Amino acid sequence: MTTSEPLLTLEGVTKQYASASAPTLVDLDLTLDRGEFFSLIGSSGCGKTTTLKLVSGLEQPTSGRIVLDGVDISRVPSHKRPVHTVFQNYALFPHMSVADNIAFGLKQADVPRRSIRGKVDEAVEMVGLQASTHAKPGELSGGMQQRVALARALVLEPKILLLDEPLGALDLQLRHQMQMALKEIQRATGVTFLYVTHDQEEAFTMSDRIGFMHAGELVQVAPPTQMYHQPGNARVADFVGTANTFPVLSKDDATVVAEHFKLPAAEVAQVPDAAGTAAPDGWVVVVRPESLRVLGPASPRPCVCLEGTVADLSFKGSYTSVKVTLPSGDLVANADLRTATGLALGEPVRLGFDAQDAWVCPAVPAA
Amino acid sequence: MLVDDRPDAGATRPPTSQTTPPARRSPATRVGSALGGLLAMVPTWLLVVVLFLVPIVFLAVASLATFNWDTGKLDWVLTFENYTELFRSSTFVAFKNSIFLSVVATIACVLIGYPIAYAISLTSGRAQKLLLLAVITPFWTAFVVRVYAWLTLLGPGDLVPWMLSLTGLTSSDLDLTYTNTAVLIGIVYCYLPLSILPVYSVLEQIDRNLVLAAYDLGYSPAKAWFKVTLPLSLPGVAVSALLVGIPCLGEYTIPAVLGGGKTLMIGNLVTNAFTGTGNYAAGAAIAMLLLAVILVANWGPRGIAALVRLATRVLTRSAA
Amino acid sequence: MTNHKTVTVLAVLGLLFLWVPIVAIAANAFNGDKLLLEWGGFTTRWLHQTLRDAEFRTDLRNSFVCAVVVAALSVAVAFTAAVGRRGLRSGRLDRADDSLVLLRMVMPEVVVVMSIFLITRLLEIELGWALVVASQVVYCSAYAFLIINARMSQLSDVYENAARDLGARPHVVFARVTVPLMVPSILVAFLMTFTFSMDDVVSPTFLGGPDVTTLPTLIMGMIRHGVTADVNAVALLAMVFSLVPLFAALTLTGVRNLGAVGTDKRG
Repeated sequence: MTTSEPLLTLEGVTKQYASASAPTLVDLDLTLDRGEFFSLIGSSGCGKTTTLKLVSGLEQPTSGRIVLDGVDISRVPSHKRPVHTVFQNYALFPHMSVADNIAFGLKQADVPRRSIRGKVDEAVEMVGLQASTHAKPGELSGGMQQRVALARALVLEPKILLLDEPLGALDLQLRHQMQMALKEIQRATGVTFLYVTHDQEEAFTMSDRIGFMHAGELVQVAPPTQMYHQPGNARVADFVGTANTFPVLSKDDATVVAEHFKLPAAEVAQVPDAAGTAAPDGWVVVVRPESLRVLGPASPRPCVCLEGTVADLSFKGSYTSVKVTLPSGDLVANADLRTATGLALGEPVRLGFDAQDAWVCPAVPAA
Repeated sequence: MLVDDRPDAGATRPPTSQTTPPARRSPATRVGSALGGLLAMVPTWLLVVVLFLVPIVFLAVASLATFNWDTGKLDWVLTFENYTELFRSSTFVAFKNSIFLSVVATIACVLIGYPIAYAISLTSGRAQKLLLLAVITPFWTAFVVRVYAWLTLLGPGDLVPWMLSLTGLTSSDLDLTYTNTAVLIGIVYCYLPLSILPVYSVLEQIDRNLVLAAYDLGYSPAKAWFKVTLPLSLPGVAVSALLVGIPCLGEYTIPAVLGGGKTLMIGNLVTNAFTGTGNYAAGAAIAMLLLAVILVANWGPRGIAALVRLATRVLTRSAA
Repeated sequence: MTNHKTVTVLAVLGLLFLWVPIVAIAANAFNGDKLLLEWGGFTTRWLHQTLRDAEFRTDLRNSFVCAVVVAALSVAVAFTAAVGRRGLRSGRLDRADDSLVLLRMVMPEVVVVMSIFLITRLLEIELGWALVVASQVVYCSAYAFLIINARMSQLSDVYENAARDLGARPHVVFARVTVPLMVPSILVAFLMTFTFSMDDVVSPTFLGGPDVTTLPTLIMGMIRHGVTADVNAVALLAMVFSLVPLFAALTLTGVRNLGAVGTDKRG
């Protein structure tokens, strides 16, 4: 699917708003490959939407270059860029019908009238809105509006389609449906998607690669599984799922020492260039809840064993989330249903994990 | 909307010397739109300067000039006599009358208008639309006609004197036309819709649950209204008082029709001075005083509030 | 709830107060007794007479044309100013401009008109329609600006950004997106200023000179001669004509929105 041929490159892009004290984006480097589904995630204010606006041309970078398909587009005005956007609240023109909304960009592109109709019909069909072509946006449901916005941008055959939290306004079930639909459409059209969301699950579901942003910087770029299992730092670990983190007291080539346990350094996975990575705030061991096992009396003894009391049990359907209080803090483990039936609030419990399920990465300063 | 991480939109730029100026849009369109923006403002500013500011400056200058009764023109000799003249009986009476009428009319409008606004806010759907229409329609109806209508209702034997005679205090032959009362009724009548609408829109925005919460906490409906609804609706009352009180001060047409030359307000004095005696200097002085009254009425309360704030700030700082 | 009963009674009385004069005018326009001393039977004589009256027709036409011109100019000036402000986005200029708008609205019309009148006397400018229109545009454009700018400032960048993103050139964005979204407020501003001009007594009286007559000045003149049924006929017709823009405005924007127009700025 991805041919690893670079399509869009951001080189040292910085964006400083006049009214803000700190820059919104700091020296951002990012490369998108042709045909990939790339998501930018991060909490609100991290700069992901600004990045999108810079690519779309609605904002200009303070410094740095944006190169699309070998052409520097940093100073090309928005309306001349072959890049189109699906806006957060769709931004459908309320005074135009669905068909007119979809035709809007085609008319600007001086596409002959006859082929406009054909293209609009095709786009309408692609998103399954044949019955509503003459409706005004206000008469459509959120999901339908969303599809019109998608058709309106895709009909222009953009080199990159930008999507700014496009599913944010939809309810959960519709979101899941639209995620599948988006993925399908992306595969069918082969258009490169740059997707912005604060929902990591959404990004995991759809993306080929994900970029995690924080405070205007790109912290990590990785495929979903790698980002989940090998997060670039504790903040990433925390954002993309539940993470049990143990501060590292000391670390050398042989062992990683935490408060309650030691791990043989050779068996623990670490940030690839752990030796050279700066970690001014120290290191943490990250263990995902599903790697943290609730141990019965007969369980084989894992590498690390911890004892605490059950503080909370939440039934999640296919598993039960167990909150365990230790003297050093709380941990979360996922227990399968059989194990969970043996647990009771306030009772002692033993947890364990193996060294190869742990991941060591830089800590971040407490918020 | 694409705004989650964009800093405050309307803020100004700090004077930093960056290589590329921070731009909201592309530099070209930004400069273009700023220039275009300035150009687009030119018609208004031209209009305001030529037809509004310059004439008022002329007015101010003329109010300090001397009127020559022989030539019927202004001599450009500086004098304050036009202002001292203002305190002559007839002018001064009209002044007091204007202010008195405005204050009474404002209070009356609020008192009559509030229940209507409240009643409208209690209804919903079609009924509410109809009631609003019942308030808006008179407001859009030809103004002179609305004023004139009262001439036919205030004369001897007409509706209002007849209704008053039912109290037994007056005779139905009472003639109210061309009196202060007639002018007052006219003003209240014409400005009533303006006093209803702001109160209504504030009442409408009050969360109904707040009142229900008061009931739930043991308040009777009357008490709940007094403790919850009324305080929350006061901003609307303030707006409606301003909307009535200020234009009232400069009213010309209502006293001209219903006062019949007997009950005068400042507005009529101004036109009388200009077109009756032709003494522009005197007319200009009256107009300037009216202007001053309007400005004080409009910005006075806020100005005083600002002064009080400033004073408290200075005092608390010096204390600390 | 007795509380609501009191409110209802007071509100009904208040609404009666608003409507009795209007009903009285309408009724008396059909009163057979010309002097309106008593009910002289139903007649449409006064209405027929008025409708055929040359003076009435001229004045009605004058008022209408003047109001159209004033409304068009006011809206044009106000709209360009609102567009300009959107382009500028300068806080300080906005505030200065805001106070000029407010000043034009609170300034008594008598002062505006008489100050222009003073200039015409000093510079020996002839009175006439141009001055009437000009003085009305001074304050009408302020109200028009208020209505149009309120909409303009609510108009989110989103639609314009989307249009640019879809490849529309700046002037296309303006013509196809900005203006159409502004049309309702422009029309309401037009109708409102039209009504203001139609209602105005002071400008035509003092800046029009002897040749300028309008419907309001006609009625003012007739009132001086006393209260008669034919005045009521003119008044009724004036009333009917004045309601045309109201209902036009109502179809454009809901009753609730229209009720809020112009009442949210001061204070």
